[in-house]
Amino acid sequence: MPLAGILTILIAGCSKADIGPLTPAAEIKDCTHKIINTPEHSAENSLLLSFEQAPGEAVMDSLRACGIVSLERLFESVPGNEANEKEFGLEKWYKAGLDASAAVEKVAERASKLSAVSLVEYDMLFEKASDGISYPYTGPYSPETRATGSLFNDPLLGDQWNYKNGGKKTVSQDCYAGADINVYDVWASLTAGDNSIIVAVVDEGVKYTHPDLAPNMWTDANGKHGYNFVDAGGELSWDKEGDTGHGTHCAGVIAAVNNNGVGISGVAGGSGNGDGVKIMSCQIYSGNGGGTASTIARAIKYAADHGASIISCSFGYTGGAFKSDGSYKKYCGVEYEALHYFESRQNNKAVSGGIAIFASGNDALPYATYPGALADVISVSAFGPDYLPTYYTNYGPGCNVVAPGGEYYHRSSSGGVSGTSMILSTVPSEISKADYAYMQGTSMACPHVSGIAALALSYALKLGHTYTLDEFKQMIVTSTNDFETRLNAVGTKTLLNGKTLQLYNYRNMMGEGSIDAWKLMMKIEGIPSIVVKAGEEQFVDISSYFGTASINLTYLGVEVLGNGTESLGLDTQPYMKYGKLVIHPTKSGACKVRITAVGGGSELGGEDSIGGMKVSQDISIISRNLKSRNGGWL
Amino acid sequence: MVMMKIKTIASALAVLLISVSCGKKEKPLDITGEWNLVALETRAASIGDQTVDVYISFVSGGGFEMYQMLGTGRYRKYSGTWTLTGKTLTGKYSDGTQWGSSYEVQKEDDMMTLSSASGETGTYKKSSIPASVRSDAI
Repeated sequence: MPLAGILTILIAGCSKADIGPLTPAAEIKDCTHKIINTPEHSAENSLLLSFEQAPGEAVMDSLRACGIVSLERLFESVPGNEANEKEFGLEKWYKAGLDASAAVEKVAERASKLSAVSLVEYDMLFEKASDGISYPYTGPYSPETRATGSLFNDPLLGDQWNYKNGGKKTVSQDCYAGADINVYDVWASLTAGDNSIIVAVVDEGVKYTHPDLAPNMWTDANGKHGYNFVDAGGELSWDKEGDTGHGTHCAGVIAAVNNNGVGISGVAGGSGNGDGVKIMSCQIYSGNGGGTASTIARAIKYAADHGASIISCSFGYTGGAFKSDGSYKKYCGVEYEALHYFESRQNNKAVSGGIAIFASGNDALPYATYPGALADVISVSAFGPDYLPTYYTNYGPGCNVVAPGGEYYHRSSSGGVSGTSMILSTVPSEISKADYAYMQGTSMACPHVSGIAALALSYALKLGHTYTLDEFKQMIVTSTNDFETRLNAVGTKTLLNGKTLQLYNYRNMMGEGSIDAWKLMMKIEGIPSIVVKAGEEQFVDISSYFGTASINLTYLGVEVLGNGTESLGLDTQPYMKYGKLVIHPTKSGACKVRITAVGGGSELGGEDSIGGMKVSQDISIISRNLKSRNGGWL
Repeated sequence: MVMMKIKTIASALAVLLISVSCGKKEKPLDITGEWNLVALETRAASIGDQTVDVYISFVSGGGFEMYQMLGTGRYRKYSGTWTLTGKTLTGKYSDGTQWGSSYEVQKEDDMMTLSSASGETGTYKKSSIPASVRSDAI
C-alpha cells in the first residue's frame, strides 16, 4: 500500500477529559504567529503541524494535552527522493487528528505554544470548479451532428464541439465556428499521445473500469490505478453518495481512448494503437468528504513520486480567499510545498519538471482562485460554444489561458435547452445512468489544457526536443488565439437564464487568449525566423511567438541578445508598440531578440498582488534587403 | 541546408562572371527544374548564423512551388507564377502577393544566381526536392 510507510502515531485513550494541564509555563506565551491561516473553510477534525525535529514521546504527551488524538507524517517518504523531500521541507509536516469534542481553534492555539511545533496550519477545504451537475447523453443524435471525415471512429466525436467547432446550430444557436482547441490536424499529422506520459487527475476518483478509459489508465505494479487519499485503505471509488462523476469526466477529456469505436475521443487519447497518454487517479474527494489541503498535498506528492508529468487540478480555494501570491504562500504552506516538489520532479525526458494546471474557478470573479492564480502556475478560464466567456468563469489577473468549459443556458436549433452546449465526456454510469454526460465549468476547461500539454510532451518526445519547465509553460500560455476581437464585436451576451454579460468587462482579462493545440505543436517543432527589411523602421508581427493575442499583451521589455545590435546595425533599441516589435535594422544580418510580457493580466503576480506569469520568448530575426509581404523567400 | 556565409559563393560567382563575358550569342534562359538555395550574398554582410533552406521548382508554363525553412520549424510551402523577360525574373504568389523583388538571372549548367534589385544575390543549385520536404511542408 503506498501510504503504509507513513508514520502513524495513535494517542490511544485520549478524550476530552485528557485535555488536562496545558504546556509548561515557560511555553505559555502568544505564539499565534505560528498559526499560518484561519479556521474558515477548514476541516474541523484535523490540523497540520510542522516540526523542526521529529516529535518524540514528550511532545506526544504535550500534543495529547492539546486535544490531539493522532499524529502521522503527512507525506510518505520515497527511498531515493529524501533529499528532494527535504529541500521542500516535506518531512516536517504531520497531520494531527483531533478529539471529536475539541474545538479546532483551541487546539491550534494550544499546539502553537509548544516549542517543538514550528507551524500550525488549518486543514483548508477546496472547492471543485464545477457545479457537479451532469446531463446524461441521450443520443443518438441525427447523423449531421456527427463529425464528417473524422480521423477517429468514436461515434460521439461529432458532438465534441470543443475539439472542432463548425458552428453547428444543433450545439447552440449562438455556436461560433472555430470555438475549439484546434486539435484535429494534430491528431491527423503529428501525434495523438504517448503512453509513457502520465497525467494525474487530482479530483474525485476516476472510474477506471469505464470502457472508454480502461485501456488508458495508468497501472502500478500492484494493479492499482491511483490512490484514494480520503478513505482508509486507499481504494479508488467514484459512486458514493455525494460523488458527481467530476473526476471521470475530466479524465475523459484528457485521454478517453480514441479510435476504439466507442463513445468519445480524448485530447491525448492516442490513435487506437495503445499510444494514448495514461491517466492516474489521485482521489481527493470521496462522497461528501475530502478536498482538504492535506489530502491534496498528499495527492500531488504521490503524482510526483509515481511518474506523473502533469497534474490536472479542477479545484481551488473559494474565490477571493486570497488576493496575492504572498498571502497564499503565507497561509497555505503545505500544498504549496507539495506543488513545488512536483514541479521539481522530472518524470519524462522532454521537460525538466512537472506541469501543474488548474481551473480558474466558477465564481464569476475578476481574478482567478488560488493555487491556480500563482504567477508560475497555469490557470484556465472557460469559454462556451459561442467563443465568449461563460457566465460562471473567473477571469482577469491570475488567469493565463481560456479553453472550452461549456455553458448550459444556450438554445439549440430544436428550440430548447439540450445541454449540447456543454462538454461531453465520460461519467460513471452508477451516477449518471449513462456512460457519457455533459458538464460545465472551468473544471472542464482545465483538462483541455492538460490534454494539450500531454500532446505537446508526446510530440517533443517524438522529435527528441527538450525544454526547461519554464520554457514549456511559457510555450503553452502563448499558443493562443485572439479573444478580444470577438468580445469587442459582440458587446453583450444574454443567456436563457436571463443573465446578461457586458463583455467589455472581460476585455484584456481572458489571459493570453484561447489555447490552440496546433500552435503549441508548431512551437515544439520550432518557429521560423521572422524576416525584416534592412534600412527601414518597421512594426513586426510577433503572433507566431506570443499568439494572436499578442497585440493586447502587456510587454515588460525587449533585449537584443548576443551581438545582435552589431549584426543588424541597430542604431536604436527595439521596443514594443501597439503589440508589435518596432525595429530598425540598417543592414542585413541575423539576431535574437528576447521579448518579455505578462502572460495573463496587465501585471505580474507577486508577493503583494495577483497577476500573470512572466513570459519570455527569444525571437529569431533575419534582416534582408528584400522582403515579401507574405513571408515568402523570393 | 547551408550556413549562409558570403565567402561560400565566391567561386560560384566567378564561374558565372566568366561565362557571361565570353561574347557568344546567348540562348534564351531556361530556369525550369528544381533548385536548392546553396548560398546567399548580400551587399553588406552575411546573414549571420541563421540556417536557411529554400527549394524552388520552376515549371514550364510559368508556375512555381517553393519550400522554405528559415531558422527552425517545418518547411513552409508557397506557390505562384513567374515570368522571365530576358534576364529579368518576376513573379507573384498564389495569394496575389508580389515577390519582394524582381531578379536578374544568371545561369550556368546546374548553377543559377538570382540577384535582387536591392543587391541580394542567392545562388541556387539544381537539386531534386526531397520527398520528405514536400510531404512534411505546411
